[in-house]
Amino acid sequence: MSATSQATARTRDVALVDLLDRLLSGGVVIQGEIMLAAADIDLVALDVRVLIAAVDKALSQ
Amino acid sequence: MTLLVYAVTDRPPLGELPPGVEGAPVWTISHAGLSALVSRHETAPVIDERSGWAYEQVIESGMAQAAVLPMRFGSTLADRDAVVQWLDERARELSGVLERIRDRVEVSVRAVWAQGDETAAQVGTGREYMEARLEPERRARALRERIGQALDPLADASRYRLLVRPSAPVTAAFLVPRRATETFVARAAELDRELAEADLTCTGPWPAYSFVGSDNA
Repeated sequence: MSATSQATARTRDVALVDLLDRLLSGGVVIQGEIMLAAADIDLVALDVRVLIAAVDKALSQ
Repeated sequence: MTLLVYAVTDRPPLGELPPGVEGAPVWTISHAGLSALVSRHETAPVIDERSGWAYEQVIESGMAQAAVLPMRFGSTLADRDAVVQWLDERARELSGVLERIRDRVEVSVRAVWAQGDETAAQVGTGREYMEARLEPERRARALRERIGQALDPLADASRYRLLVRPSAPVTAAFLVPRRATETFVARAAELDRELAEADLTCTGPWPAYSFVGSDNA
């Protein structure tokens, strides 16, 4: 099974947060070649905060 | 034009790869015994839910066929020559990390405080304020110890972050032998039932994103 196929309804939102967390802060880095523009970083940060709030709510229900 | 790099493997994936970010075809560029999975784009792709999962599915497809080093999203190089030069410069390092994560997967474990178990922060005196601030840290460290005792013996490596949010005392990643994944997840589920103060959520198996960075080399 894979991360994409194994996610259950309860963990689907958590899986998305885990994915974005890994894609943005994990993985091999090409020195000096990370190309996220400043405006995009702000947008991503905002999206992640919204998602985390949604996950908190989902997990507390 | 730019090439988005998804992952590096020490052999080209045997089967066909799914479409990549923005539906772009994915192919491999090989050099020095390594292959980079890439797709071509007009400009560097922006991450969102759709592009993130597309990126992940390409890497998982490669992971099903060979050991792969996932790249951080947004890693781009100008063209084929730049990819070849990069593989040439980093070949020894990349091969070493590939060996360390071969036949292993990453499993994520997130702990949140159980509902109604969050420490009240409404306090009056300075001493109460300090104690209220220290208490979550003490409790998070204790929970991290408990999780470590249960799960570290089943993993080859682990990484922990404490209190990334007030409601999330422990965020952890484990590098687990692929054949032991089910045992690991079962133990995590058992631990979740044992813990009254926190709820654990497990996701994965992921490519080893948290164990391939330069600080893990």
